[in-house]
Amino acid sequence: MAVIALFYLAVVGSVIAFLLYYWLVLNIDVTKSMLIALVTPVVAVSLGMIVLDEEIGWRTLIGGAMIITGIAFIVVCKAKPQRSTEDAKDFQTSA
Amino acid sequence: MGNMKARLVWLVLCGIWGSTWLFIKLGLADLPPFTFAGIRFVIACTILVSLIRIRGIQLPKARADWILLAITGILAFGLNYGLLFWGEQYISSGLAALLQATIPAFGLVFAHFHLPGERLSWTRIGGVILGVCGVAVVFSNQLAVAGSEALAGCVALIFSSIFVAYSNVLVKAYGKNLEPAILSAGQMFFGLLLLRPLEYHSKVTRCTFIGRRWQSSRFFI
Repeated sequence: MAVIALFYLAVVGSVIAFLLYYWLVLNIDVTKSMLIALVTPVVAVSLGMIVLDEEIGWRTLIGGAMIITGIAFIVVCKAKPQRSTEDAKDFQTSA
Repeated sequence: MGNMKARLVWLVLCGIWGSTWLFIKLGLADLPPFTFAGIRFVIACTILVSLIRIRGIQLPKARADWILLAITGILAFGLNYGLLFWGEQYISSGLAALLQATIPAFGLVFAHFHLPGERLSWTRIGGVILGVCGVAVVFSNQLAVAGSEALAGCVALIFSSIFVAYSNVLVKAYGKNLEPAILSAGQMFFGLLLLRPLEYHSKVTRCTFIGRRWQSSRFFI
């Protein structure tokens, strides 16, 4: 079982994940790419509940709703940051 | 996130990193954490180097690029994982998840000073605070900190979040010319230079990595 776990973590959880992650970092706001850290615990807990056939508790539901709301807040509400001409160009092509 | 591809990648990453803990749990039944993570990143680094050679991706020539890879590798892989492995011995998995969820909060601050396009705004601050509070609610039954060792563990986890956030911002600010494969492989290589001695040290001192705590505790790796 450790071999399967190592294979998954090395290939999917490291090679594929970090290739995708750095593509993301270079192509969108890094502050938005880092929001993944807020979602992964909820995904992990939810997956565990599915795999272990446990009920999803109120903590997960309320906390998950707060996390999604917080992220939606950042993604949907456009900030108006100061931006140099060059950065503005990058943003248009990437974000 | 302006385009569909970026949104899709973002969601896929949430799925991948959210699922890793299940496999960590499986793997830790047979191997201690440092060894497990060490082997994992050695395999990943080897695959990435092979990929770089097969695809004919040019290695960076500028000294500044190598310095960036070394600094961000030590921060994101060496110090980040080293502190995590150490700190998670003393705190619950829920508290570890909460402290790791502060990565975007520190990221906001660092980005404000390094990235002209990502200044702090009330919207971003409010969103991240709400998100971190959400993680706190999810794990609200596991947030007790008992004793100085647990406090030290918390501090270690906070510093690991600071280091990984700073590394990400540095990559965004100064690594635009680097391929994701170069960034990933380079960082893993330099991070492993620090992790391997730590792994050896953990074996020598017989640090007791309690699997029960560790097994469900690593979400963002």
